[in-house]
Amino acid sequence: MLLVSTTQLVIASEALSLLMQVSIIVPMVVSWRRWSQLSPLMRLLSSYVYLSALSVVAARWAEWTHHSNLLYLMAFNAGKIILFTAVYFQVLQLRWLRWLFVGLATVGLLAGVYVGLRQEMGLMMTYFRTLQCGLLAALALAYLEQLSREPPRERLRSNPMFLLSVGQLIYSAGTVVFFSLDFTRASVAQNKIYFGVVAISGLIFNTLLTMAFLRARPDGPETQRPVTGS
Amino acid sequence: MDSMLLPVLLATPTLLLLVLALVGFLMRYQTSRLRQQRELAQVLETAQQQALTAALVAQEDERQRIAGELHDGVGTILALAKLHLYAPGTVPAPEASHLIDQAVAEVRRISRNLQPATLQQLGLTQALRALVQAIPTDQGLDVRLEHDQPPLERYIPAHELMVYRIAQELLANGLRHAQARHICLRLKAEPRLLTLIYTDDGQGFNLAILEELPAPAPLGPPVGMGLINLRSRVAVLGGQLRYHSTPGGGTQVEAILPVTRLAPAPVSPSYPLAS
Repeated sequence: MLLVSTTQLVIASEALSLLMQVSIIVPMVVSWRRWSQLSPLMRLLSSYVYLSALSVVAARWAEWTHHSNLLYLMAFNAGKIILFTAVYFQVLQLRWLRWLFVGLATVGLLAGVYVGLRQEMGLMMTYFRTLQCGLLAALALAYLEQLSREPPRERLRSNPMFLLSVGQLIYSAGTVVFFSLDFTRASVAQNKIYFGVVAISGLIFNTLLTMAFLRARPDGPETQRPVTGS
Repeated sequence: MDSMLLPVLLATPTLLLLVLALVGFLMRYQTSRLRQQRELAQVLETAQQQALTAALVAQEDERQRIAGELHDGVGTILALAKLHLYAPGTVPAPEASHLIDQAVAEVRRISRNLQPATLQQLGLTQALRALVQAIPTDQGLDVRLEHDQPPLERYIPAHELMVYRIAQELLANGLRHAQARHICLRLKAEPRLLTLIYTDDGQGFNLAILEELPAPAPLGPPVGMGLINLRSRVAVLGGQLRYHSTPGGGTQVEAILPVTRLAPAPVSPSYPLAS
Protein backbone atom coordinates (compact mmCIF):
# COMPACT_ATOMS: atom_id res chain seq x y z
CA MET A 1 0.00 0.00 0.00
CA LEU A 2 1.53 3.25 -1.11
CA LEU A 3 1.29 6.31 1.12
CA VAL A 4 1.56 8.65 -1.83
CA SER A 5 -0.36 8.63 -5.07
CA THR A 6 1.17 7.90 -8.49
CA THR A 7 0.55 11.50 -9.52
CA GLN A 8 2.50 12.76 -6.55
CA LEU A 9 5.33 10.36 -7.37
CA VAL A 10 5.38 11.53 -10.97
CA ILE A 11 5.52 15.18 -9.90
CA ALA A 12 8.30 14.45 -7.43
CA SER A 13 10.23 12.47 -10.05
CA GLU A 14 9.84 15.27 -12.60
CA ALA A 15 11.11 17.78 -10.06
CA LEU A 16 14.07 15.57 -9.26
CA SER A 17 14.88 15.08 -12.93
CA LEU A 18 14.73 18.82 -13.52
CA LEU A 19 16.91 19.46 -10.48
CA MET A 20 19.47 16.91 -11.70
CA GLN A 21 19.55 18.49 -15.15
CA VAL A 22 19.94 22.00 -13.76
CA SER A 23 22.55 20.86 -11.21
CA ILE A 24 25.15 20.45 -13.97
CA ILE A 25 25.54 24.24 -13.76
CA VAL A 26 27.31 23.81 -10.40
CA PRO A 27 30.33 21.77 -11.66
CA MET A 28 30.35 23.99 -14.74
CA VAL A 29 30.75 27.16 -12.67
CA VAL A 30 33.32 25.48 -10.43
CA SER A 31 35.37 24.40 -13.45
CA TRP A 32 35.31 27.99 -14.76
CA ARG A 33 36.37 29.45 -11.45
CA ARG A 34 39.17 26.91 -10.95
CA TRP A 35 40.27 26.72 -14.57
CA SER A 36 43.82 27.88 -13.82
CA GLN A 37 44.14 25.17 -11.14
CA LEU A 38 42.93 22.36 -13.37
CA SER A 39 45.36 19.88 -14.89
CA PRO A 40 44.95 19.11 -18.63
CA LEU A 41 43.16 15.91 -17.63
CA MET A 42 40.60 17.75 -15.51
CA ARG A 43 40.15 20.29 -18.28
CA LEU A 44 39.30 17.42 -20.60
CA LEU A 45 36.88 16.09 -17.99
CA SER A 46 35.24 19.50 -17.77
CA SER A 47 33.99 18.93 -21.34
CA TYR A 48 31.44 16.63 -19.75
CA VAL A 49 29.53 19.52 -18.21
CA TYR A 50 29.06 21.12 -21.65
CA LEU A 51 28.11 17.78 -23.21
CA SER A 52 25.57 17.24 -20.45
CA ALA A 53 24.15 20.75 -20.58
CA LEU A 54 23.92 20.73 -24.36
CA SER A 55 22.22 17.33 -24.35
CA VAL A 56 19.64 18.52 -21.80
CA VAL A 57 18.78 21.57 -23.89
CA ALA A 58 18.71 19.59 -27.14
CA ALA A 59 16.64 16.76 -25.63
CA ARG A 60 14.08 19.22 -24.17
CA TRP A 61 13.83 21.06 -27.44
CA ALA A 62 13.42 17.81 -29.40
CA GLU A 63 10.77 16.61 -26.94
CA TRP A 64 8.66 19.72 -27.61
CA THR A 65 9.18 19.91 -31.33
CA HIS A 66 9.56 16.31 -32.54
CA HIS A 67 7.96 14.46 -29.60
CA SER A 68 11.02 12.19 -29.49
CA ASN A 69 14.43 12.98 -28.12
CA LEU A 70 15.92 9.49 -28.37
CA LEU A 71 18.53 10.52 -30.92
CA TYR A 72 19.88 13.30 -28.67
CA LEU A 73 19.90 11.04 -25.62
CA MET A 74 21.80 8.37 -27.54
CA ALA A 75 24.25 10.97 -28.79
CA PHE A 76 24.75 12.03 -25.18
CA ASN A 77 25.40 8.44 -24.10
CA ALA A 78 27.82 7.84 -26.96
CA GLY A 79 29.61 11.14 -26.25
CA LYS A 80 29.84 10.26 -22.57
CA ILE A 81 31.36 6.87 -23.37
CA ILE A 82 33.95 8.44 -25.70
CA LEU A 83 34.81 11.26 -23.29
CA PHE A 84 35.21 9.09 -20.17
CA THR A 85 37.19 6.45 -22.07
CA ALA A 86 39.54 9.27 -23.17
CA VAL A 87 39.80 10.56 -19.57
CA TYR A 88 40.56 7.15 -18.08
CA PHE A 89 42.92 6.38 -20.97
CA GLN A 90 45.18 9.05 -19.54
CA VAL A 91 45.23 7.74 -15.98
CA LEU A 92 45.33 3.97 -16.39
CA GLN A 93 48.88 2.69 -16.16
CA LEU A 94 48.60 -0.67 -17.90
CA ARG A 95 48.88 -0.15 -21.62
CA TRP A 96 46.96 -3.29 -22.54
CA LEU A 97 44.11 -2.27 -20.24
CA ARG A 98 43.92 1.21 -21.76
CA TRP A 99 43.67 -0.21 -25.25
CA LEU A 100 41.25 -2.91 -24.11
CA PHE A 101 38.84 -0.20 -22.97
CA VAL A 102 39.31 1.72 -26.20
CA GLY A 103 38.56 -1.48 -28.10
CA LEU A 104 35.51 -2.27 -25.95
CA ALA A 105 34.13 1.25 -26.35
CA THR A 106 34.64 1.20 -30.12
CA VAL A 107 33.10 -2.24 -30.59
CA GLY A 108 30.29 -1.38 -28.17
CA LEU A 109 29.42 1.85 -29.98
CA LEU A 110 29.54 0.22 -33.42
CA ALA A 111 27.40 -2.63 -32.17
CA GLY A 112 24.94 -0.08 -30.82
CA VAL A 113 24.65 1.61 -34.19
CA TYR A 114 24.18 -1.80 -35.80
CA VAL A 115 21.42 -2.64 -33.32
CA GLY A 116 19.74 0.69 -34.08
CA LEU A 117 19.88 0.16 -37.83
CA ARG A 118 18.75 -3.46 -37.77
CA GLN A 119 16.30 -3.41 -34.88
CA GLU A 120 14.58 -0.33 -33.44
CA MET A 121 15.58 2.94 -31.87
CA GLY A 122 14.10 2.08 -28.47
CA LEU A 123 16.25 -1.01 -28.19
CA MET A 124 19.24 0.98 -29.34
CA MET A 125 18.60 3.48 -26.55
CA THR A 126 18.44 0.71 -23.94
CA TYR A 127 21.60 -0.80 -25.37
CA PHE A 128 23.52 2.51 -25.24
CA ARG A 129 22.44 3.22 -21.69
CA THR A 130 23.38 -0.26 -20.50
CA LEU A 131 26.69 -0.08 -22.35
CA GLN A 132 27.40 3.29 -20.75
CA CYS A 133 26.69 1.93 -17.26
CA GLY A 134 28.74 -1.23 -17.73
CA LEU A 135 31.73 0.33 -19.47
CA LEU A 136 32.03 3.39 -17.23
CA ALA A 137 31.67 1.23 -14.11
CA ALA A 138 34.42 -1.05 -15.45
CA LEU A 139 36.67 1.96 -16.10
CA ALA A 140 36.03 3.24 -12.58
CA LEU A 141 36.72 -0.18 -11.05
CA ALA A 142 39.94 -0.52 -13.08
CA TYR A 143 41.09 2.86 -11.74
CA LEU A 144 40.19 1.94 -8.15
CA GLU A 145 42.07 -1.34 -8.51
CA GLN A 146 45.08 0.61 -9.78
CA LEU A 147 44.84 2.93 -6.78
CA SER A 148 44.87 -0.04 -4.40
CA ARG A 149 48.11 -1.28 -6.00
CA GLU A 150 49.95 2.07 -5.99
CA PRO A 151 51.83 3.27 -2.92
CA PRO A 152 49.50 5.76 -1.26
CA ARG A 153 50.48 9.40 -1.69
CA GLU A 154 47.63 11.17 0.02
CA ARG A 155 44.11 10.63 1.25
CA LEU A 156 41.79 9.25 -1.41
CA ARG A 157 39.21 11.95 -0.87
CA SER A 158 41.77 14.46 -2.17
CA ASN A 159 42.13 12.61 -5.46
CA PRO A 160 39.69 14.01 -8.08
CA MET A 161 39.81 10.85 -10.17
CA PHE A 162 38.87 8.78 -7.12
CA LEU A 163 35.87 11.03 -6.52
CA LEU A 164 34.89 10.80 -10.17
CA SER A 165 35.21 7.01 -10.08
CA VAL A 166 33.05 6.74 -6.97
CA GLY A 167 30.48 8.99 -8.64
CA GLN A 168 30.63 6.86 -11.73
CA LEU A 169 30.09 3.64 -9.76
CA ILE A 170 27.18 5.06 -7.77
CA TYR A 171 25.58 6.39 -10.94
CA SER A 172 26.02 3.07 -12.72
CA ALA A 173 24.76 1.01 -9.75
CA GLY A 174 21.76 3.30 -9.31
CA THR A 175 20.76 3.34 -12.96
CA VAL A 176 21.84 0.10 -14.61
CA VAL A 177 18.71 -1.85 -13.63
CA PHE A 178 16.35 0.87 -14.86
CA PHE A 179 18.37 1.47 -17.99
CA SER A 180 18.41 -2.21 -18.90
CA LEU A 181 14.61 -2.42 -18.82
CA ASP A 182 12.69 -2.01 -22.03
CA PHE A 183 11.25 1.41 -21.25
CA THR A 184 9.05 1.40 -24.37
CA ARG A 185 6.78 -1.15 -22.69
CA ALA A 186 6.30 0.94 -19.58
CA SER A 187 3.80 3.72 -19.21
CA VAL A 188 4.90 7.35 -19.27
CA ALA A 189 4.13 7.61 -15.55
CA GLN A 190 6.20 4.54 -14.72
CA ASN A 191 9.09 5.84 -16.76
CA LYS A 192 8.94 9.16 -14.99
CA ILE A 193 9.01 7.46 -11.59
CA TYR A 194 11.97 5.33 -12.63
CA PHE A 195 13.82 8.36 -13.85
CA GLY A 196 13.23 10.04 -10.54
CA VAL A 197 15.44 7.35 -9.02
CA VAL A 198 17.92 7.79 -11.87
CA ALA A 199 17.93 11.52 -11.12
CA ILE A 200 19.02 10.87 -7.53
CA SER A 201 22.04 8.92 -8.85
CA GLY A 202 22.71 11.74 -11.29
CA LEU A 203 22.60 14.31 -8.49
CA ILE A 204 25.13 12.27 -6.49
CA PHE A 205 27.34 12.04 -9.56
CA ASN A 206 27.19 15.79 -10.17
CA THR A 207 28.03 16.43 -6.52
CA LEU A 208 31.10 14.18 -6.72
CA LEU A 209 32.08 15.75 -10.04
CA THR A 210 31.90 19.20 -8.40
CA MET A 211 34.06 17.92 -5.53
CA ALA A 212 36.55 16.54 -8.06
CA PHE A 213 36.87 19.99 -9.66
CA LEU A 214 37.20 21.59 -6.24
CA ARG A 215 40.00 19.21 -5.18
CA ALA A 216 41.87 19.33 -8.49
CA ARG A 217 45.40 20.75 -8.51
CA PRO A 218 47.71 21.43 -11.46
CA ASP A 219 50.10 18.74 -10.14
CA GLY A 220 47.52 16.49 -8.51
CA PRO A 221 47.93 12.71 -8.19
CA GLU A 222 45.70 12.15 -11.20
CA THR A 223 48.32 13.80 -13.40
CA GLN A 224 51.10 11.36 -12.51
CA ARG A 225 50.97 8.35 -14.77
CA PRO A 226 54.20 6.51 -15.63
CA VAL A 227 54.98 6.48 -19.34
CA THR A 228 55.68 2.76 -19.40
CA GLY A 229 53.47 -0.13 -18.39
CA SER A 230 52.31 -3.12 -20.34
CA MET B 1 6.62 -4.11 -16.46
CA ASP B 2 4.94 -4.15 -13.04
CA SER B 3 6.19 -7.69 -12.47
CA MET B 4 9.70 -6.28 -12.76
CA LEU B 5 9.12 -3.61 -10.17
CA LEU B 6 10.07 -5.73 -7.17
CA PRO B 7 13.35 -7.12 -8.58
CA VAL B 8 14.22 -3.61 -9.74
CA LEU B 9 13.46 -2.13 -6.35
CA LEU B 10 15.60 -4.80 -4.71
CA ALA B 11 18.46 -4.91 -7.19
CA THR B 12 19.25 -1.19 -7.22
CA PRO B 13 19.73 -0.72 -3.46
CA THR B 14 21.73 -3.97 -3.38
CA LEU B 15 24.05 -2.70 -6.09
CA LEU B 16 24.37 0.65 -4.35
CA LEU B 17 25.21 -1.05 -1.06
CA LEU B 18 27.86 -3.14 -2.82
CA VAL B 19 29.40 -0.02 -4.32
CA LEU B 20 29.40 1.76 -0.96
CA ALA B 21 30.97 -1.26 0.72
CA LEU B 22 33.66 -1.41 -1.95
CA VAL B 23 34.45 2.30 -1.66
CA GLY B 24 34.45 2.11 2.14
CA PHE B 25 36.80 -0.85 2.09
CA LEU B 26 39.15 0.89 -0.34
CA MET B 27 39.22 4.06 1.75
CA ARG B 28 39.95 2.15 4.96
CA TYR B 29 42.61 0.08 3.22
CA GLN B 30 44.30 3.15 1.79
CA THR B 31 44.14 4.98 5.13
CA SER B 32 45.80 2.06 6.90
CA ARG B 33 48.50 1.92 4.19
CA LEU B 34 49.10 5.65 4.60
CA ARG B 35 49.44 5.17 8.36
CA GLN B 36 51.87 2.27 7.86
CA GLN B 37 53.88 4.36 5.43
CA ARG B 38 54.08 7.21 7.95
CA GLU B 39 55.15 4.84 10.72
CA LEU B 40 57.81 3.31 8.48
CA ALA B 41 59.12 6.77 7.59
CA GLN B 42 59.24 7.61 11.30
CA VAL B 43 61.19 4.41 12.06
CA LEU B 44 63.61 5.18 9.24
CA GLU B 45 64.04 8.73 10.47
CA THR B 46 64.74 7.50 13.99
CA ALA B 47 67.27 4.97 12.68
CA GLN B 48 68.93 7.69 10.61
CA GLN B 49 69.04 9.97 13.63
CA GLN B 50 70.58 7.21 15.76
CA ALA B 51 73.18 6.45 13.08
CA LEU B 52 74.00 10.17 12.84
CA THR B 53 74.35 10.42 16.60
CA ALA B 54 76.59 7.36 16.66
CA ALA B 55 78.73 8.81 13.86
CA LEU B 56 79.10 12.14 15.64
CA VAL B 57 79.81 10.51 19.00
CA ALA B 58 82.48 8.35 17.33
CA GLN B 59 83.91 11.49 15.76
CA GLU B 60 84.09 13.22 19.14
CA ASP B 61 85.71 10.12 20.73
CA GLU B 62 88.29 10.06 17.98
CA ARG B 63 88.98 13.77 18.44
CA GLN B 64 89.44 13.21 22.16
CA ARG B 65 91.84 10.36 21.50
CA ILE B 66 93.89 12.40 19.00
CA ALA B 67 93.93 15.39 21.37
CA GLY B 68 95.24 13.13 24.15
CA GLU B 69 97.88 11.64 21.87
CA LEU B 70 99.01 15.09 20.77
CA HIS B 71 99.19 16.44 24.29
CA ASP B 72 100.74 13.43 25.98
CA GLY B 73 102.82 12.13 23.07
CA VAL B 74 103.98 14.89 20.73
CA GLY B 75 103.80 17.60 23.43
CA THR B 76 105.99 15.61 25.81
CA ILE B 77 108.51 14.79 23.08
CA LEU B 78 108.78 18.44 22.12
CA ALA B 79 109.27 19.46 25.75
CA LEU B 80 112.03 16.86 26.09
CA ALA B 81 113.65 18.05 22.88
CA LYS B 82 113.78 21.58 24.25
CA LEU B 83 115.34 20.33 27.48
CA HIS B 84 118.03 18.55 25.48
CA LEU B 85 118.63 21.70 23.47
CA TYR B 86 119.51 23.60 26.64
CA ALA B 87 121.32 20.73 28.35
CA PRO B 88 124.71 21.67 29.91
CA GLY B 89 127.56 21.48 27.40
CA THR B 90 125.41 21.95 24.28
CA VAL B 91 125.69 24.90 21.92
CA PRO B 92 122.63 27.14 22.29
CA ALA B 93 120.44 27.21 19.15
CA PRO B 94 117.86 29.96 19.60
CA GLU B 95 116.26 29.29 16.18
CA ALA B 96 115.68 25.62 16.97
CA SER B 97 114.28 26.62 20.36
CA HIS B 98 111.94 29.11 18.71
CA LEU B 99 110.76 26.46 16.25
CA ILE B 100 110.09 24.02 19.09
CA ASP B 101 108.08 26.71 20.92
CA GLN B 102 106.06 27.26 17.75
CA ALA B 103 105.47 23.52 17.41
CA VAL B 104 104.34 23.29 21.07
CA ALA B 105 101.94 26.20 20.56
CA GLU B 106 100.58 24.62 17.40
CA VAL B 107 100.09 21.25 19.11
CA ARG B 108 98.25 23.01 21.96
CA ARG B 109 96.06 24.91 19.53
CA ILE B 110 95.16 21.74 17.60
CA SER B 111 94.57 19.85 20.83
CA ARG B 112 92.34 22.66 22.18
CA ASN B 113 90.32 22.70 18.98
CA LEU B 114 89.90 18.98 19.05
CA GLN B 115 88.87 18.81 22.67
CA PRO B 116 88.02 22.16 24.26
CA ALA B 117 89.18 21.81 27.85
CA THR B 118 87.44 25.08 28.78
CA LEU B 119 84.13 23.52 27.91
CA GLN B 120 84.60 20.65 30.31
CA GLN B 121 85.98 22.80 33.08
CA LEU B 122 84.05 26.09 32.85
CA GLY B 123 81.02 25.38 30.75
CA LEU B 124 79.50 26.56 27.51
CA THR B 125 79.54 30.33 28.05
CA GLN B 126 83.22 30.45 28.92
CA ALA B 127 84.15 28.04 26.15
CA LEU B 128 82.27 30.11 23.59
CA ARG B 129 83.87 33.29 24.94
CA ALA B 130 87.29 31.67 24.54
CA LEU B 131 86.32 30.59 21.03
CA VAL B 132 85.23 34.12 20.08
CA GLN B 133 88.33 35.69 21.66
CA ALA B 134 90.58 33.32 19.73
CA ILE B 135 89.37 34.78 16.43
CA PRO B 136 91.97 37.27 15.11
CA THR B 137 90.54 40.77 14.93
CA ASP B 138 93.51 42.46 13.27
CA GLN B 139 91.60 43.03 10.00
CA GLY B 140 88.88 45.06 11.66
CA LEU B 141 86.54 42.13 12.23
CA ASP B 142 84.34 42.49 15.28
CA VAL B 143 83.10 39.22 16.79
CA ARG B 144 80.90 39.36 19.86
CA LEU B 145 79.23 36.89 22.17
CA GLU B 146 75.99 37.92 23.85
CA HIS B 147 74.18 35.87 26.42
CA ASP B 148 71.64 36.19 29.17
CA GLN B 149 72.83 37.29 32.55
CA PRO B 150 73.97 35.43 34.60
CA PRO B 151 76.00 32.95 32.53
CA LEU B 152 74.23 29.83 31.37
CA GLU B 153 73.70 26.86 33.57
CA ARG B 154 75.59 23.68 32.84
CA TYR B 155 74.10 21.13 30.49
CA ILE B 156 75.00 17.48 30.09
CA PRO B 157 78.47 17.22 28.46
CA ALA B 158 77.21 15.67 25.21
CA HIS B 159 74.77 18.56 24.70
CA GLU B 160 77.30 21.23 25.66
CA LEU B 161 79.77 19.77 23.21
CA MET B 162 77.17 19.62 20.45
CA VAL B 163 76.12 23.26 21.00
CA TYR B 164 79.79 24.25 21.06
CA ARG B 165 80.41 22.45 17.77
CA ILE B 166 77.37 24.13 16.22
CA ALA B 167 78.68 27.53 17.29
CA GLN B 168 82.13 26.60 16.00
CA GLU B 169 80.66 25.57 12.66
CA LEU B 170 78.59 28.76 12.39
CA LEU B 171 81.60 30.94 13.11
CA ALA B 172 83.81 28.95 10.74
CA ASN B 173 81.24 29.29 7.95
CA GLY B 174 80.86 32.99 8.64
CA LEU B 175 84.61 33.61 8.64
CA ARG B 176 85.08 31.53 5.50
CA HIS B 177 82.25 32.84 3.35
CA ALA B 178 80.44 35.87 4.78
CA GLN B 179 83.09 38.59 4.35
CA ALA B 180 81.42 40.34 7.27
CA ARG B 181 82.67 43.21 9.47
CA HIS B 182 80.49 42.30 12.43
CA ILE B 183 79.58 38.86 13.67
CA CYS B 184 77.42 38.27 16.70
CA LEU B 185 76.70 35.03 18.47
CA ARG B 186 73.80 35.20 20.89
CA LEU B 187 72.68 32.58 23.38
CA LYS B 188 69.15 32.55 24.76
CA ALA B 189 68.28 30.03 27.43
CA GLU B 190 64.77 28.86 28.13
CA PRO B 191 63.69 25.86 30.15
CA ARG B 192 64.87 22.78 28.22
CA LEU B 193 65.70 24.91 25.21
CA LEU B 194 68.76 26.81 24.11
CA THR B 195 68.62 29.17 21.15
CA LEU B 196 71.83 30.01 19.39
CA ILE B 197 71.54 32.97 17.05
CA TYR B 198 74.33 33.77 14.64
CA THR B 199 74.15 37.13 12.86
CA ASP B 200 76.53 38.77 10.42
CA ASP B 201 76.44 41.78 8.12
CA GLY B 202 78.23 39.97 5.32
CA GLN B 203 77.36 39.24 1.72
CA GLY B 204 74.53 36.81 2.52
CA PHE B 205 73.40 34.11 0.15
CA ASN B 206 70.45 32.83 -1.79
CA LEU B 207 68.32 30.60 0.41
CA ALA B 208 67.27 28.52 -2.62
CA ILE B 209 70.77 26.98 -2.55
CA LEU B 210 69.90 25.37 0.78
CA GLU B 211 67.00 23.51 -0.81
CA GLU B 212 69.37 21.86 -3.26
CA LEU B 213 71.57 20.41 -0.53
CA PRO B 214 70.92 16.74 0.14
CA ALA B 215 69.66 15.58 3.52
CA PRO B 216 72.37 14.40 5.92
CA ALA B 217 73.04 10.69 5.54
CA PRO B 218 75.59 9.04 7.81
CA LEU B 219 76.24 6.16 5.45
CA GLY B 220 76.05 8.18 2.25
CA PRO B 221 78.90 9.84 0.41
CA PRO B 222 80.43 12.93 2.02
CA VAL B 223 78.69 15.95 0.56
CA GLY B 224 80.53 18.81 2.26
CA MET B 225 81.15 20.02 5.72
CA GLY B 226 79.64 23.47 6.31
CA LEU B 227 75.89 23.67 6.27
CA ILE B 228 75.31 19.94 6.04
CA ASN B 229 77.51 19.32 9.07
CA LEU B 230 75.58 21.99 10.91
CA ARG B 231 72.27 20.49 9.89
CA SER B 232 73.40 17.04 11.03
CA ARG B 233 74.41 18.26 14.47
CA VAL B 234 71.16 20.14 14.95
CA ALA B 235 69.28 17.04 13.81
CA VAL B 236 71.13 14.93 16.36
CA LEU B 237 69.83 17.18 19.13
CA GLY B 238 66.37 17.09 17.57
CA GLY B 239 66.46 20.84 17.07
CA GLN B 240 65.48 23.25 14.36
CA LEU B 241 67.62 25.37 12.10
CA ARG B 242 66.25 28.55 10.54
CA TYR B 243 68.04 30.65 7.98
CA HIS B 244 67.32 34.25 7.10
CA SER B 245 69.52 35.63 4.38
CA THR B 246 69.43 37.64 1.19
CA PRO B 247 72.32 38.30 -1.16
CA GLY B 248 74.02 41.45 0.14
CA GLY B 249 71.82 41.62 3.22
CA GLY B 250 73.74 39.58 5.78
CA THR B 251 72.78 36.30 7.34
CA GLN B 252 70.98 35.18 10.44
CA VAL B 253 70.95 31.54 11.49
CA GLU B 254 68.83 30.49 14.39
CA ALA B 255 69.42 27.10 15.97
CA ILE B 256 66.75 26.08 18.46
CA LEU B 257 68.17 23.22 20.46
CA PRO B 258 66.49 21.04 23.05
CA VAL B 259 69.06 20.54 25.82
CA THR B 260 69.14 18.77 29.16
CA ARG B 261 70.42 20.52 32.25
CA LEU B 262 73.06 18.84 34.28
CA ALA B 263 71.62 17.49 37.51
CA PRO B 264 73.00 19.51 40.44
CA ALA B 265 75.71 17.74 42.35
CA PRO B 266 74.54 16.38 45.70
CA VAL B 267 75.34 18.82 48.47
CA SER B 268 77.91 17.32 50.83
CA PRO B 269 77.05 17.86 54.51
CA SER B 270 79.19 20.50 56.20
CA TYR B 271 80.04 20.54 59.86
CA PRO B 272 81.25 23.34 62.10
CA LEU B 273 84.98 23.25 62.82
CA ALA B 274 84.37 22.67 66.46
CA SER B 275 82.59 19.40 65.96
